[in-house]
Formats: sequence, structure tokens, C-alpha cells
Amino acid sequence: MNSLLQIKPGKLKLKNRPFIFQLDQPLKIASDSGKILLLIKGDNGSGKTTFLEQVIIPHLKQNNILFLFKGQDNHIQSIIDRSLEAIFSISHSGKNLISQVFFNAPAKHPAKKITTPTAEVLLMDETDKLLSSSEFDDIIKNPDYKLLILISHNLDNPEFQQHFNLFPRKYSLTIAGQSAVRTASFTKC
Amino acid sequence: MCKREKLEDKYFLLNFDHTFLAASLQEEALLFGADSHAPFLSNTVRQFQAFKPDFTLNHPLDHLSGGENAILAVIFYSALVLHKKKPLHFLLQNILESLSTSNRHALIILLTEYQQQAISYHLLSNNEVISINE
Repeated sequence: MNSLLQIKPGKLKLKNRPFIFQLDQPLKIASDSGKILLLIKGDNGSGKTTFLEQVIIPHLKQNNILFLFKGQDNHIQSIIDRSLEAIFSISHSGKNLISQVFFNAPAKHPAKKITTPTAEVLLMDETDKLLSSSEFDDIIKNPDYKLLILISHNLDNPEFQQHFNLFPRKYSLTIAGQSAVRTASFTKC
Repeated sequence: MCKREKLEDKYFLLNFDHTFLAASLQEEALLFGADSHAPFLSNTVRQFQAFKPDFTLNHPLDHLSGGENAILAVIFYSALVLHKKKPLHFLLQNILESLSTSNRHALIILLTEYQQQAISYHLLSNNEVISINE
């Protein structure tokens, strides 16, 4: 099994933030034949997006794991997508809500259209709120990626719970606190 | 419940992706002709401190999380409408959906109080408009 995430427990220092994370145990996820879901939950302002941006994404970059990221602000994401499309001639998949911008992708000739390889990890920061149930279902059934990392406030929505249950393996990461040390608790569901 | 297009001209659409113009709440209030000592501003700060205790009037808005920003926008614009004494219908798009369960409940309680003062709130969901009371 290949390791997708392997982050050591303990204090995780951050840039330009007045707080740190205290990860309670190793955040370790390995890939197998089935799809995996990592749900990141917590109160508004607890640092969910910061954890994604400053812990998970640097880890994926460092380990050359191909990932796809859909940010929280749809307006800003559209501008980023449009700019990158103009600069790199990256094509869109036809799904407006999922950016076709692949990070860590080989891009030797940026002026040409890039044949996008399969991303191993899909990161969605509250993007589920923009999707209908069937659109979210399409994403779940997409065979390309192995791990979906989702920040969501939809956890008590029965319709979305049904989707979450389709993943054979599920984990959750709960970020809590408003103080200088935020706890990040990792559990297998 | 009714189609959004029929209501667009009567509603102030507050969308998660488009909230404030200025960099701080104080500057945002200036845009609307209110000075930093206006009571509605201190009320806004006090009410928002229930969600984010260390918030101040000069807090940079881009230091807030997406959900915090959405909560503050609803509170600020509601208080502003009352300050201006002009009733308004709010259409909230992806605002409550961006909040944790506890914050969503807390904000709905606040909106219920504002709703008794010539403001109405409706949710835009999949292009349908739903009253918050339904």
C-alpha cells in the first residue's frame, strides 16, 4: 500500500497565524483498492482551511503526490482558474465546480495543452455546499482519485451522509479551539 | 418557495463569495455614511464577539475565516438596515451552509430577533427561494 498522508503527531507550527496545531496521533492514510474519505470538521474559525493549506498541501507537495484543489471561495477560484487557463492553456473538464488545475503535474511546455494525469488526492474546501446531490454523487463515483479530503459542514445532512457512506474507508479530523493551541484529533470512522 | 428571478429586484443578495468591500468593518461603515462611533457598529462588534471573542472594529476582514466572514456580513448589514430605518429583504446564498451546526443555530436565533424589526431573510438554495421561517 502506498502512503498518501503520513504526518507526525505533535505541535505543527504555522506561518502568519497566531496559533499552532497539536495533532493527537499520526495522520496516516495509505491507499488500497478502495476509495478513502477524510472529513475535516470543526467550528468556523477553528483553522480547518489553514490545516489544509499549511499542513496537508505542503505534505502532498513534498511527497510528489498529485492533487487537485477546489478552494472555498467560488468567485476567487473562478478567477484563479481563468488566469491559469489563460497562462498555461489548461483545459477545463466541463465541470465548472472542479478546477482542472493539477498541482505537481509535469508541465514541460506550458504553452501547449497539458494532458492531465490522474490526481491521487482531491481536496475540497466546503465545495459540497455548491453541489447538488447528483453532482456530488458524480464526484464520489469518479474512479480517478484515491483520497477525497473534504472540509464540510454537511455532516448532519442525511442526504450527504448517504454519499459519505459510499466510501469503504473513512477518517475524520476534528479541529477544535480558539486559543493559541488548536487540537487536531484524527480518528478512523 | 418561489423562483429566484421573480424576486431579484426586491432582494439584497448576500452571497458567501461577495460580502465586504472595505478592509475593516470601520471602513465598511464609512462607505455607508456611518462613523465609527455609531451605536449599531458597537452592537455589531458585540454580537459578533459571541462567535469570535477577540474581534474588534479594526480587525482586518481578510484575517477572518470564510464562515466568520459570512456571519459578520449578515450581522453587519442587518444592523445597518435598522440603523438606516429602511426595511429590506435579504436573500442569503451559501451563508448558513458555510456554518458549523452550533454557529448556524446561534445565527438563526439572531436573525429571528432582527426579523421582528422590518427585516426578512430568505435562503437561496438550488435557485429556489425559501423563507427562513418555513
